[in-house]
Amino acid sequence: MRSRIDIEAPFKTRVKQAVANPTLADTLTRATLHLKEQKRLSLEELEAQRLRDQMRQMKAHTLRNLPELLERFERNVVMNGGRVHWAEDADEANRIIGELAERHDVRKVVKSKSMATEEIHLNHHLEAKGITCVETDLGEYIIQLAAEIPSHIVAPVIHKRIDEISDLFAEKLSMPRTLDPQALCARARVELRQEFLSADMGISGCNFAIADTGTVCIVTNEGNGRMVSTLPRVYVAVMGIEKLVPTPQDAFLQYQSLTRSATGQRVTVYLSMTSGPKRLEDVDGPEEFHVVLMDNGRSRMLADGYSESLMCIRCGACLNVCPVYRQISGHGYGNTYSGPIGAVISPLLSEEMARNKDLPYASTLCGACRDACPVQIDLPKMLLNLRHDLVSGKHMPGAERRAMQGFAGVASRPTAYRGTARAARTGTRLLSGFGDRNLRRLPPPLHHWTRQRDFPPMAKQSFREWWAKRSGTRGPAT
Amino acid sequence: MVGQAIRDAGTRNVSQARQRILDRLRQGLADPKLPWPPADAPPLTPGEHMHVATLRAEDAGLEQRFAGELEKLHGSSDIADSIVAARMFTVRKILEWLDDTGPRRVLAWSELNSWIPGLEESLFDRNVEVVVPESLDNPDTRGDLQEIRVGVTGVEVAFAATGSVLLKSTPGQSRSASLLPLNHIALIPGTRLLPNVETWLEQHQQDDSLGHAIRNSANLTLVSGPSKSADIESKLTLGVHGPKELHAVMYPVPG
Ligand code: SF4
Repeated sequence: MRSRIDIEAPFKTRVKQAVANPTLADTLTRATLHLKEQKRLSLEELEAQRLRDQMRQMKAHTLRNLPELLERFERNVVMNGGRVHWAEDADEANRIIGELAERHDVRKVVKSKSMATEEIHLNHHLEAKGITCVETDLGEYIIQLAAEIPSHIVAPVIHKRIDEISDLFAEKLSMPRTLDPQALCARARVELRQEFLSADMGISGCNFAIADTGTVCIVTNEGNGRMVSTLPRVYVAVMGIEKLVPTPQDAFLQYQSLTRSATGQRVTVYLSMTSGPKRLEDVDGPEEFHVVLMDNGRSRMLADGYSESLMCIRCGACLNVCPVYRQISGHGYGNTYSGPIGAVISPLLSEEMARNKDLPYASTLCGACRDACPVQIDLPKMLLNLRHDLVSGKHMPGAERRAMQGFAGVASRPTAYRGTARAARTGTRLLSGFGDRNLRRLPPPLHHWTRQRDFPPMAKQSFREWWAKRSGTRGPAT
Repeated sequence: MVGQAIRDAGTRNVSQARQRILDRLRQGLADPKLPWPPADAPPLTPGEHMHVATLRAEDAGLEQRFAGELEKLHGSSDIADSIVAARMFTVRKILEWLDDTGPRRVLAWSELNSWIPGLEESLFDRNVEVVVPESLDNPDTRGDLQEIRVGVTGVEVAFAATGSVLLKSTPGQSRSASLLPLNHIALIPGTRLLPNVETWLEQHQQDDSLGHAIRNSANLTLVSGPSKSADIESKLTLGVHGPKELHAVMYPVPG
């Protein structure tokens, strides 16, 4: 039941595998279109643009004042009776959590979905210490049964069909085969409830945290976020340093922006706000509350000029509109963070650099992601900047730099012309610098950039066809 | 000052990580050529935040709007016109959920009578035991509570525009009552039903009690409908971890 996409393989191979699997593309298209439609319906009824503007203002303010807000947050968590740990990188975050687990004799950890812990491969680390990690999102639980990693920020099993899930439950849980999702869900509830009750530590990510009150907020529909933050003795929240919002008002603004953009809901089922461990005489709640504040490349991203991407609220909207994502799925990105935002941040996060130099090319620069983003992050611009920086050697070793220099100018030049009414002719002009042979070898960004300006957003040639043709030639960005 | 904060944080050997992270951020932000964030990035001041979900002209009233929203979220509700009716609706729903197979027990917040006078007696008369745990630390207690199929709670406040209830953890108000059982009934006195979350935030902002309202309890949870997932082929499934059914009873408060 392993994924048919080998996430350790180079980017090109992964794309090839994904494209060669027609079921995968069909399921993905159906699921992502469904999410898109939901989102459209919900956004229509509100002042969508005003919300985006307010979000952008709030997030820009947060970044501008991030050091002070982090200090304020720390003070308030401590005043609430919690502990704060600072981690410069993945190793340090893993070590901190590992030590906490050892100190509390933790044998079993229950987790609710968290890109932050995926980013540092926490499960791996804890399991090496003999600690069992149970993922408790229905989707992630299924993934874990199948020993895969999530393919989508919001809907991790978006690439699996129900008959495949049924097979999995039959194989791993000896459950009679069924195509009734409710029955599968009920079975998972029973299995997971036992895990919640017997776990010594709960670990979650953090959707946002309030600096003014030292409050960690997690957003779920299933309720496992409440479970992991309520039932085990020790609760640990792992968060990137960019996850802060200044005030409670800002938190509820972001909450509503997130739910609408992520799944088209006005609200999610649960928003759990934790301000410290259980209070004296409280019936339930953790005895200890820890927050791990993780940098892992983020402060460097800010200094390198990529801090716009630190405003990302991980809603997944850019994935749902992305024609490339629809065709290659999250596993094609071979990474925790997929889609357009993943293409930007994955190469910039410390550990993942080496494997991800191709990712900024996994985009057609059609602009759909920017338009969908609730914070209006200019993802296409950042991808272009990143390609430029990769080529100029800012983020990569020499050999790869040489391999890419061939199209450095081309890849970075479209920015200069963006927004002009003559985009189509611009494309032609750029192309004219190349002979026939070079044209065939043209890197993906420009190829699609010109197409997208000439034709309506839905490309005439699908990524699948394009890839089939392209793989016959040798692309430069191997 | 910094040293104090580090000691307060109660961690060992982290001064370096903390200092390096903050230094890198400060250095980065000091660069005048930084493309983002802008040098002048004003906050949203309290009161400036938009009301994201609002009431509509056609809304008949807060109760009706709440009921409509909760229904869209796969929950259900009763609107009672008196305390007596509220008690009747509540008992009826609880009995419906208990049917005849499971234990006749409900997991509840303390002092149910302070929410609906006479509710505890009514349940007692129907042979329903009201369980209010003092602590869930004991594994036996936890296991025992798993059998209970119905949770009964009040609310800190409820929001009509989104069909949401805000639950606050206090010594008498367990988180478990709204989390562990398969069915959850929330009692909403009319005085606690507001148009939307922004109204609540503004009220507290005005009398300077917002920070207190958020952090005074270890946990605040906003609940909107029963637990759900669409992880399996985008198809709706209910009761994944939390309750499969959420029923609200709204009622006027006398006086
Ligand atoms: S970049 Fe924007 S659209 Fe994409 S996940 Fe982040 S916030 Fe959502």
